[in-house]
Amino acid sequence: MDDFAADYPFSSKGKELLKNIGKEALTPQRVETAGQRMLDSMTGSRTTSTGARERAVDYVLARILLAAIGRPSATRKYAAAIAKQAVEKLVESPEAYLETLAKDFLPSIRPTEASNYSVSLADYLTSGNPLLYAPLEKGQLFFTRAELAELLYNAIKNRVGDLSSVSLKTLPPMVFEAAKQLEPRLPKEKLLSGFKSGKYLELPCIKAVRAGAAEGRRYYGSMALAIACVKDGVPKEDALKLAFEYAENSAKGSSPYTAREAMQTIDWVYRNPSIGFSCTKIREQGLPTECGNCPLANERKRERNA
Amino acid sequence: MPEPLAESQQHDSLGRQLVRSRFRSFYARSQPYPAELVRREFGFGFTKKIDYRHKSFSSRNDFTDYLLLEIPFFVSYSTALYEKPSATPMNRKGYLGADLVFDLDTSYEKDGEHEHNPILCPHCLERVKEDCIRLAEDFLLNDFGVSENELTINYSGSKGYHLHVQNQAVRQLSAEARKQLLSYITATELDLTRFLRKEQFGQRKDDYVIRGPSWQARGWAKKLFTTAHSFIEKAEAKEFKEEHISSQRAKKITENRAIILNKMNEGNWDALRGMDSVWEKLLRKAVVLQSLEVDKAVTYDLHRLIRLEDSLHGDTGFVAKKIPLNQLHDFKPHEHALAFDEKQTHWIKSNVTGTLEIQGQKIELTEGKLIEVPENAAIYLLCKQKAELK
Repeated sequence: MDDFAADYPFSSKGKELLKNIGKEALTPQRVETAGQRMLDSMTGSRTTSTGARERAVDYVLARILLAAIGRPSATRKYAAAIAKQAVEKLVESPEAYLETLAKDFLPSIRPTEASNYSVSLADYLTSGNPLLYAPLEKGQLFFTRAELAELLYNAIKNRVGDLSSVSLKTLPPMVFEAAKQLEPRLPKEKLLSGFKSGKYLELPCIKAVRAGAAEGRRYYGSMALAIACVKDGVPKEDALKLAFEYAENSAKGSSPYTAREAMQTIDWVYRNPSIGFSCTKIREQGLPTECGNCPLANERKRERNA
Repeated sequence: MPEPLAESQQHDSLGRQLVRSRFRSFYARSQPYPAELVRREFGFGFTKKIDYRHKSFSSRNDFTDYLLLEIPFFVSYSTALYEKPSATPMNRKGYLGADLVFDLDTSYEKDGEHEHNPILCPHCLERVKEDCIRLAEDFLLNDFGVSENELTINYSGSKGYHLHVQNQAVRQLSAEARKQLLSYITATELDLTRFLRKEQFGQRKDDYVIRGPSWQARGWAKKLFTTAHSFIEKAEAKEFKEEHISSQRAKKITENRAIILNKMNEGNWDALRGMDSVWEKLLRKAVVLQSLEVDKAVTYDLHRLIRLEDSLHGDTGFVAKKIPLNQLHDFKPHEHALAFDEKQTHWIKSNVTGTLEIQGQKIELTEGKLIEVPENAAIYLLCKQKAELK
């Protein structure tokens, strides 16, 4: 079962395999190798085959490095890559693997005659999959094997991408040093389809907003971002992707800020495109500003003086 | 904090004194309390719904004593359970989970089917009750699989209904998971184009078939199927006209009714060509008929306080009465949620002109006129500040 644990290190079997691994794994060389393999996963490159235990350690170290790097888009990319690899492996794996892994995320999973599998509503809701289109009846959801694999893809992606259990305080400085070396080599996220940042999205304040806003400022941050997108003529589809990224980057705080909330703002602003871009509002709402270096502020100042 | 009781009572009008004394009598004979009382945070209102919160009680007796001593006009408790319910700020309370609660209070004032009565509108109350029955039966029991013994329904004491689901599985649901349930119930983001798709089977442009939900569908697909299927099965000229379906199209549908229905059962929505706009109208109709509007914040806010079942509502004097689902159809708040002596009467001076339907009577009120009314009507009008006690 070591292979199962190594192929699916985010599963409870994976955790068991990793139980006895201590800080001795955190040698500079080992961290560097894990970092390289993390990059390989993200870019889809093949890595040399290693033992089960080593692969599992790679996974742990990759998440530690991602937490130290602190770039949500990179974490998202890694989580998506791991989820994709896991689901692809399931196709080649023994039949029982799918059920074993599924049980880890959806403990209530049961085989059924007509649809292959059923899952309880409470389990399904914790997997991070949307309910609106789901085949729901009497508190159960019904899936074919292919649908279950898709469900698992999202659930794995959510679990791998959740770094809240990684405590940065306990990490040795060597990890941060490795993270610093690794960061420039991370693949740039091809988030937008042929879209180029325009004048407004390049403003220092909007760049800062895109990196995420604090609790209490998240709503107006999404407004500022949406207005900048409209002004720059960004297609709505791309603006929605930016909103998704913004929600991921923003502080979760005591009340979580969801992609849906940010996307709703985009939706509203795109339906009201005449709304103006207000530097004053951005300042009033306590969003980060660097008006001294701002081309728009300078331009407006020149216009006022002319 | 509210002003000290003795001082606040000194300022009480005659009407307020009557309301207070009747609330006291009510709590002397009826002691409401929530499940797992010691784990709940309480909030009380004297001048508004919640004047202060973060209160907790170590026993049912302590809680009852408090009600009898302070006579709050509004009693609310947390849907959540806490290790230390009275601790502040919220993150020190030690959250243990929360009941799943829904609040229905949609305004039907502008519903064209009736002349709205601003004093107390039985039609509006009836409409919200219908929503409550649909939420309980169609969504909570049929879709979410809640069992009847996990579900408590109560009249809010004013314009709506509250539904509480209590079981271990729902207690652990995150705010995000609760939003998913709301999204399912309200269906505001439902993209209908996802339910009908063209399946190409040949090279020619017309070599396609429209696939949609079948009789075996589940979730919203089933709801859409049921509405559309039922319409095709039963629609006559009047119904076609109401949906703006042309008489020619209606004739074709009627002539081919059996075959359309049979094909639909198999998931083939293409027995008759040129039905695209008909399907679009029927699917939209299905969403309007089958979705519900609920107060979302009550459901996803894990630290929300909600009116205690079987307590009095300070804006009406009505009981926030628990009602078994099988008795909900016959429940009328203005007859069955009354708290006070039905034989006792009081003289009041009305501040409004209109009809108050309560306790099986229609009371005609004229602004500025004195009238003797049953106690339940007097308390209702005094709480609503629509009358003065004489």
